[in-house]
Amino acid sequence: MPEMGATLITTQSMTAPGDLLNLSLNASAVIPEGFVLLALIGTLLVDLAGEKTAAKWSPPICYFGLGSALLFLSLQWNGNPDSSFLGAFLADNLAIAFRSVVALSTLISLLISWRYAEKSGSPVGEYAAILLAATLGGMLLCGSTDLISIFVSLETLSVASYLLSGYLKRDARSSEAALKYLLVGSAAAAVFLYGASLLYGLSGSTNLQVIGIALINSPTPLAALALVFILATVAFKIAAVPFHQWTPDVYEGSPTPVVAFLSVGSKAAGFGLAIRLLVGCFNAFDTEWKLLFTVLAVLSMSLGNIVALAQTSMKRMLAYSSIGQAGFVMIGLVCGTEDGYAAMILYMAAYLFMNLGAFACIILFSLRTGSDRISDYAGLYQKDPLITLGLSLCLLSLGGIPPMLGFFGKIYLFFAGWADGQYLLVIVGLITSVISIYYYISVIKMMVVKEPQEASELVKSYPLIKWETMGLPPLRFALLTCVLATAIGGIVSNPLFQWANSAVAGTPILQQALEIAYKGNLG
Amino acid sequence: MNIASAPIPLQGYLLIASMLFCIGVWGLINSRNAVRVLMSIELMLNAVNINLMAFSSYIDGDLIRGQVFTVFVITVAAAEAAVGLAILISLYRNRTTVDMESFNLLKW
Amino acid sequence: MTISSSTEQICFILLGLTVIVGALGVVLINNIVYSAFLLGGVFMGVAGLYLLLNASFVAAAQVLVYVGAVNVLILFAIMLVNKREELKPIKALQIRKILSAGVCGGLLILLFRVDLTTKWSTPGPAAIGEKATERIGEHLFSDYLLPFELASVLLLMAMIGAIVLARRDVLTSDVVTGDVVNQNLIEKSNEPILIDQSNKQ
Repeated sequence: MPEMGATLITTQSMTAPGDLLNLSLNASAVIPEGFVLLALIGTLLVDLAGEKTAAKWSPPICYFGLGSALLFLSLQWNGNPDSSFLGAFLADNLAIAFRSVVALSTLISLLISWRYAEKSGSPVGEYAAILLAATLGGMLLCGSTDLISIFVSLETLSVASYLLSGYLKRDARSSEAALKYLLVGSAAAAVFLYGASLLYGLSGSTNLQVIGIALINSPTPLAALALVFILATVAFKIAAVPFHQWTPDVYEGSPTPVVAFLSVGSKAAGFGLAIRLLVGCFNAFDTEWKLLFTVLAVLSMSLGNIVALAQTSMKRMLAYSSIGQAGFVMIGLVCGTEDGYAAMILYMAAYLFMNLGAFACIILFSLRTGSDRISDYAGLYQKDPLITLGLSLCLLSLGGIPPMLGFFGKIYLFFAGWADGQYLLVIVGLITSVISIYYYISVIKMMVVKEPQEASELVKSYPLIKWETMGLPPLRFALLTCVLATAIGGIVSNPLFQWANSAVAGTPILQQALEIAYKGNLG
Repeated sequence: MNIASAPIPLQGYLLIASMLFCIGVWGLINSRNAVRVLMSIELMLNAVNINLMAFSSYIDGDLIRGQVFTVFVITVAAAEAAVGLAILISLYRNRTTVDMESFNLLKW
Repeated sequence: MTISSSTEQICFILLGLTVIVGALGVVLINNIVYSAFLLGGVFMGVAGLYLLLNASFVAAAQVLVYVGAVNVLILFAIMLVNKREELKPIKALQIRKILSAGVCGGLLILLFRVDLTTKWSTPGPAAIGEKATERIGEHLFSDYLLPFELASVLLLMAMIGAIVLARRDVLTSDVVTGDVVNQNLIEKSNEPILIDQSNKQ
């Protein structure tokens, strides 16, 4: 009988194919994903009964699936981080934190998308199903510890995102955005695969842990090349400059709720993947990837925030601002200290609420007026105080004005960066924050201080505010939740700090990396 | 068959894969027809597959994880091609062209 | 040097040439239909390489999926969107092509160098040859069970999504309010390309 061999260097080694049935897959780690999958199948089934039934029943099914997923994720917290599926998946606290961010972002994106999807006449059931498939891919991506699982979950997330951005098929902009996203994304996937194949050739395994050990033993030029290839794909996923070109186009052309998901959920999954690959696997190339990421972070922060100044479309402005925000998050990754990782997770959670809150407001505005031009927001506060207040609070938080949630997140990031000696990054971050405050404030100024007669035509003919239509109450709920979390979260941010810190403390790969770094400092 | 006396060295396969990959990259950058861009991506994926298969039989001969990886790449590539062509057709209905240079409603 | 090994070498060289020449044809030939057929040739050549590597299952999958499905799909797409169109000339196209050829050449040299200078850990464990199919099945139901299951979700979603995007019938009214809709983005275009801005004001 040939040896099946050990996929893991831990206890789970197989002796013979007959023993396969007795192996413990530890499949309970993916129960949350199971609920998302159930919701996916449920929406597809109710969709068979026609569009009216789908519009009525898809929302509760999705809430149930994602709600149970979040519940089970919270039950897994601080559980035993044994790898499941024989080394393909790991449910440590880091993965749980990022999976929660992805699931929560889908939940809020769905809340704000029902009315948009119905008003644009696109099938709601399939929309929800594809978005749930993207969530499934994103959640599994955060915990994957094997090149094949990473690849398949990355592609599930990507293919679903292509489909979603082209979902309004009668609009040339939407189709064009989808085609550009697909071509650039598939090319990035091919480059990732080439890097992965080199890693496989180097180590003879697809498990990240085994590859990491092989890289420590033989840091060859080949490994450096694989690092560059894989890094390019990660940078594409988190839209870091200079791999950002697709972002503004895709964000402008895609349906707005999809943009909300892409800017938070997809990005969070990208960061989860980045930590998993760089810290867990490329530890031997610590200095190299930190240098590369420093360059990416500086470029992202400066270019993202400076180009955002010149935008006239709200969606495009938020696209560039999200590039800048990704730059801030990268500071935490470059630090590689306990505070750095914790700040990264905290900022992702804060970014979830403030960015989705801003998107809820601009979706509501475009539903009522059919525009996303910044100049059309002029004088809005007299007609719609709710949007004005919500958007102002979220934008102020994105800019990092105290006492919003974003301020504490950003301060923590800068503090961690400064403590680690990343002075260049922190200074660039501070300067570009000021720039970003300028363009966020100019939107608020546009809404608030215009005289009634200076208001835009669209605002002058603003429709009466009604909340009865199906799909609008969830949107209002999501808007209020995000705005409240953004506004009050800053004051009561202590639980969030603790949550982020325990996420780092309960993650073996991060603890190992910190230990190695600590020993390096001593020696 | 004993690998040590293999008539073809591992590097032979790797060189073919490298050439195929670079041709794919060139086609990706220079094609003006969107369908040809998709074809170039398929070339790149095939280059990756050759790499994986070669490593699988020369380095990982008993566990052949590379072959499993290739099966997954083939699966995903098929799904990606189907989605790509659906998007292309939906775009063609709106714009009646497949020239990459004319897709400029959204500025690059 | 035995007959079998020299046959194998000759096959390898022929297949390699087919793949490379075919790939060059795919990206260089102007007629897209010829390119698509050459792409089929490349896929067949790659399948032949897999056979040389003793991987009959993957070779069969390659022929079935790539030649049978992907290539036919591409041909279909070409026929559906095959309108003879005059491409607008672009300035400095030639220079752009040469520059990118230089970049790709540099990449090629880099890859060659890495391929040839790295000390691969060959020879590895003895190949299992014809038992490969069985082994792939074991892998799919043990350590690669998770990606295997996820791939089924991916395929289901790709199928549904492709149908939604490519089918012609669209909803003509809002399911809730009954208003007329047209599956456009809610946000009107900022540029005057799609909608005449004059009647909007």
